[in-house]
Amino acid sequence: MNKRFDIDEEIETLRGLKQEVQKELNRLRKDRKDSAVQELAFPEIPSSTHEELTAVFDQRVKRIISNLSTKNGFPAPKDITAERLADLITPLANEDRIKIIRALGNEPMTFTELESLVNKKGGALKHHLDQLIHEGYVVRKRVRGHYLVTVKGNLVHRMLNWIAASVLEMNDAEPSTPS
Amino acid sequence: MLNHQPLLEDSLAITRRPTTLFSRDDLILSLPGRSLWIRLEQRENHIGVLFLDDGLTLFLDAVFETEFGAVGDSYELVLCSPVVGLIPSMRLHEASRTPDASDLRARGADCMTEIKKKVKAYAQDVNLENYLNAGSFLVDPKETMTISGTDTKNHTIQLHTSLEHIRFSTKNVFYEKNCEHDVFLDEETLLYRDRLDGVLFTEWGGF
Repeated sequence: MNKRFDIDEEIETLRGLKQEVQKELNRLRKDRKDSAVQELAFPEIPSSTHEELTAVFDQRVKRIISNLSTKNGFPAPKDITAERLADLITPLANEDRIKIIRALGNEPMTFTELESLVNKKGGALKHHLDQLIHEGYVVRKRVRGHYLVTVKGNLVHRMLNWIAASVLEMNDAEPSTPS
Repeated sequence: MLNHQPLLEDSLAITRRPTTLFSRDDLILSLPGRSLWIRLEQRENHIGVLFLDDGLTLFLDAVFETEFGAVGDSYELVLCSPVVGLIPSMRLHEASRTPDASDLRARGADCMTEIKKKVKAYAQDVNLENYLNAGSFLVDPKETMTISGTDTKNHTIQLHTSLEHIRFSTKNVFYEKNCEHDVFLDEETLLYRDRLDGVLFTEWGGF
């Protein structure tokens, strides 16, 4: 079960592998360019390092996809309705609620402490907390009145963080269009 | 003991005001005012209380903090009569008085005999003898508490606590905490945390 929480680690490993593959490809391209004349005389032999890295990369991707499949617990993305997906995202589609989740990730907090955190009082803060509690991202201890982020809340926040980081990375990687 | 009319009259009481019967960091047990109860004895030893009115309220934080986030839930459960409580009755006595005729009439009884019939029926409902026998085996009744009843949705509620241990169960929920391990089980989650060996999750909630 801890494997699901190793997703960040997996992603970091994949990123490292991707960079290695990219370096290897660049080296191969450079080699190919350098030996363009020789290629005519000698047919290209695939690099064993490249093949090995690609195989490992594919294996890791398959593992991640496997972890996300219905068979292993999570429903496949196609099984989530648009309405349900919106329900899951909505509690975190707000700056104050993201602040709350992040703060609770560090330590349990009282209502008063959360009021100071997001600078919202009474009903306005309760509205935010109710949305997080309703979706199971936050739990309130009734006896002492502390709020805590749940495993589910942490997971969704981290996954959304990862998606956001990936999208931003993709945007940065896209070549800028000439003006 | 319930077969003895004088004992029943001596043991019957009603709360004058809301009373907190038990309170600690993760658990509060409170009883509203004007709530009828009867003392339970076994061989002249106090064993517990049979609550004859609805309204006993249980606040329980069945929540574990883990490195991945919180697991569990917090409960506020109103219990319906009859409820068996193998608990000390000192606080209850302090907050209670002998019921008068109007208290009995409010519960559809014109005399003590009718209340006695009601108590006997309750005792049969909850298989009281078993609780009395179990209660007599508790190591230290002052440090332990057992509550058994149903909530407003007719789900069985079982709670047992001692100084270093708490166990709670209701429909599809089981929660246990002691010096060796933590367990939480509901429809979405199973947490088992051994104090020495770490945490095992088998599921943490479906989307």
